[in-house]
Amino acid sequence: MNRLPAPLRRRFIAWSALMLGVLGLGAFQVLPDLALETDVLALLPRTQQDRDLDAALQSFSAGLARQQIFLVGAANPDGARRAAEAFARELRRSGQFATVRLELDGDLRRRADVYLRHRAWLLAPEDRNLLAAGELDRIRNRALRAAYTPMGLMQPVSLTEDPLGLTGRFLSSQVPALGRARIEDSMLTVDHGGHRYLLVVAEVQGSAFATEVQDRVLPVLEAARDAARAAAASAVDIVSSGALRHAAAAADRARREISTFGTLETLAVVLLMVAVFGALRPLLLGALTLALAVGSAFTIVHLVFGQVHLLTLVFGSSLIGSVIDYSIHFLADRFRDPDRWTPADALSHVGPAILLGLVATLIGYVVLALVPFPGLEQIAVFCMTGLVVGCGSVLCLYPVLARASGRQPPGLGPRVGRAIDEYLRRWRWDAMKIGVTAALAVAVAFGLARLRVEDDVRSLQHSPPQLVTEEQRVRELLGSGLETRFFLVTGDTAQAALESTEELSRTLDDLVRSGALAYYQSVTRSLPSLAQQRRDHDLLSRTVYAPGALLEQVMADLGFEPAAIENRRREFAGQTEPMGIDEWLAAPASEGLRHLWMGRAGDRYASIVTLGGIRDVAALEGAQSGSARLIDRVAETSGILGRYRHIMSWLLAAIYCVAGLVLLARFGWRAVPRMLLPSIAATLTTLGLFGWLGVPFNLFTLLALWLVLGLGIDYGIFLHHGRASRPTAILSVTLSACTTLIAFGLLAFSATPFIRSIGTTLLVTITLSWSFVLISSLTGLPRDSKREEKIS
Amino acid sequence: MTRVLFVVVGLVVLSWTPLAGAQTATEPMSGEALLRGPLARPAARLAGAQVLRGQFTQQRHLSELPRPLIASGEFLFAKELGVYWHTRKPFDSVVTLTPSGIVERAEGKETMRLSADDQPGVRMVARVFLALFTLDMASLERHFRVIAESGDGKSSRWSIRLEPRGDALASVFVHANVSGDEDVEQVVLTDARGDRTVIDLTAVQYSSTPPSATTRALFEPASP
Repeated sequence: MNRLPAPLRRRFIAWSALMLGVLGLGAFQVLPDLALETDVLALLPRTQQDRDLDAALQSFSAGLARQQIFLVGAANPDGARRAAEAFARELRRSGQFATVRLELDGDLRRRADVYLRHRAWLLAPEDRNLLAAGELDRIRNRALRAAYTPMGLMQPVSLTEDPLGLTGRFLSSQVPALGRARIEDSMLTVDHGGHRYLLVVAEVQGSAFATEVQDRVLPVLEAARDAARAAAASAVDIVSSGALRHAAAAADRARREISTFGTLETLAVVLLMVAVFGALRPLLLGALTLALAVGSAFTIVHLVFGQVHLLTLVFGSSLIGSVIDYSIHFLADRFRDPDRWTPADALSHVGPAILLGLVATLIGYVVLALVPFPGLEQIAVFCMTGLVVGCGSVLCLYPVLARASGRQPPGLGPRVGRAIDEYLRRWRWDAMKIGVTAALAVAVAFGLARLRVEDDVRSLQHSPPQLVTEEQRVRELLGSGLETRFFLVTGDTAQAALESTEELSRTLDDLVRSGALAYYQSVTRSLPSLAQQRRDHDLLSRTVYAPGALLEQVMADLGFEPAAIENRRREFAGQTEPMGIDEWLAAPASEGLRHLWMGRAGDRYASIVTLGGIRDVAALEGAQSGSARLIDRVAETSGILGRYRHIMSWLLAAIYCVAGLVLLARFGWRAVPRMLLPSIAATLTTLGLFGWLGVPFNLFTLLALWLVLGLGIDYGIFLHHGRASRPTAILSVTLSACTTLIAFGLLAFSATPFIRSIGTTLLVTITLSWSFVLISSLTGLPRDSKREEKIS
Repeated sequence: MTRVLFVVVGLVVLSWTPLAGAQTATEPMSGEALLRGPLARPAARLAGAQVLRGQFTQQRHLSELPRPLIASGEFLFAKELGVYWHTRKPFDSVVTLTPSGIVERAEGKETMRLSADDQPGVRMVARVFLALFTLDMASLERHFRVIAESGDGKSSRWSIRLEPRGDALASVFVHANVSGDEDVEQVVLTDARGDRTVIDLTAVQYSSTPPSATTRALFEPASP
């Protein structure tokens, strides 16, 4: 310590202070409200629209994601009812759900109220058509039959107040189609396979994707299941559907994998380091570097983005590879001259190579951060922070901390380095090797031609089979599943949006009749546009309430006095105002529908029409118009994945060029191909191999290739710098390749497809990259070999 | 989807009113007690019957209407099938109530069909009608509070009052009075506004043989 130059000491103190500051920020700002995101879709850019509308769509989707459907079933109806009641009670008691619905709203009159106040302006679509077509006899006959037969008992509004049944028909038309579920004893019921199932719908508080919400809700679900079983006193079958359990399963698996892989990784790295360095200090230094890098990266990303995505963490583990590389390069430098080595020597000897490697890698991540893709920004910020902190820690802390122990380091490392070096020195580019290389190149080219691209987002998310089966059973029981497609209707004014929604509804009515669609849900069946209400009011005035018109005829036929007829006319005339949007939204009647009215979004107004039981997507696409757009989040997302895969492929090529130029400026044109070509060749060979093996190429494969870019360049630079002490440089590069392989080789066994994609790619590419870079940097070219032979 | 379902839930049956305050003069008697006591004889007769037919008169007393609306015709009840309600006067109309829904025909043509699956109120009404004719106390007690109004043991006449437990039926009536002697003779449905529907059943015949093919055919169009 005393012999250490003052600048190094100052640097050590400043960096330590900085690290303490960042970690303190992490502990006090980030840890208290940690948010881990697991939805792959959250990493994708918003659909290409104006921001406000997008935000509105986002909140609509988030609302859907909060919904959980449960079907509680038992062999007998009483058991099912008791089970469902106990289940719902337990959910309510937990306080984790914003709403839990089993029974219907008791006060139904409240719901009808707003419609009754405006019934002079409302008509059921069928009645509107009859009145407009002048088929007044049908309405008259219907009214007379209602007065004399049991049919009249079914009318929701009394015969005196609603002699023609028009109000009653409007109210009845508010009952939409609901798949297989029907209402039985005021609960939604499905009978299937001798079982009765009752529907419980609950909405969680907070995001279904937030781990802390999942951690609170899952035990409640278990408790509710137990309560249901206990209450039914018989076998209870509970199936559910909703994003929460899928998200929780994904998060849980990720946590499990991270802890399993993390433990194995740590063990393997510990063994490796102890075997090579023969002391604990290098290991502790590596762990410290890693902890600082990951801790700071996590803190900074959380501060910048408000949460950290699972994928970012996976990439974070890539830092294990790169950051540990810096410390390995630094520490392995000791093998150059084990007896006289000091940390300050290492700083001057490998410091420039480490810095140069960092710069080349950072270029890649800066470009990644500039791509307007929220997930990539996060990953880039995470990696850049981690790399800078890791590199800074090695360069600033190690000169003080990495004192060599008095003991001789084990001979294993140098032996491996020497063995590889000797093998490489014997390497000759003879005709056979060149032939094999050429043959391989051809095979790779054919493999590349066979490479299958896979952008379907569904193939990247993977849920446990049990949840998928449950989801299918819910779909089977209800006759419809959660449809991800819906229509977005916009207009310059609120009324224009409603009118466009009505227009779309008419088209969809035809599609329902033709079987392309089972049903749809829109606000306009309950909340007609003002224009429609005025037309209906006008129609009613002319055909029903005019002197001598339908009302008078029917009421006179039934025997009502003129005074009673006058009462009805007065009531009609007394309702001078059509039903407004705000009034409807505020009324109990709109509950369950009002989420479809998005209102003002930016400078436009929007409403959503949800769809059920889609059978013909092309027909739905045909129903689009200037103001009504079919939104398909899944297809859009897959499209976006594809587009970004495309852009990022070009970016990768571009960054190889930029990195090439940087290296060219530093090392000259002869050295650069030796540093860059191995990574490029490894990348192409991997893809060629994937082509032959049928492993699909996707955005996540590409992300892994970005990582290879950085690591591969590091190897190249390092071997170039270390030409003077080849065995040490070889050992250094081999050690770092091994740690990376340990880290990513394990990811290849992940159950999450997109993580597996990254793991497999890296496993293959790093192995190739390591062997290629050794061959290309440390063996002579065919001509060089001969020259070197002569010299030696 | 979930929202869709819940819209339904709320709108299911848009009733005019919640329950009107029930004022009962007498102590409620359990369905079983009723079956042991005043309803023993009619229930026993109904239990053995497969088909039941007779005449009906329906009077609707409405507010603001000076004279009741009167209709008459014949009815037929067949176990497991449902109720066939044939109005002859003032015009011809056939209504078939089955567990799966209600179908109305006039002059041989189907004029309306209400599926129990689409309109939940329909299922209720159909079920109650069926239960009334069979005096199926278990089913009635599930949907109503059953109160004995008379039937003191001295006379063989009996009268019970049914008050709906749920809103779905309250939209149809707030209470029903069923009375009779050997048979169910009168059903009076009263809604929240005080409008009443009085149905008198006369000339009731029982048959213990299963419904004939002709009888079955009457229900055919009602089955889905």
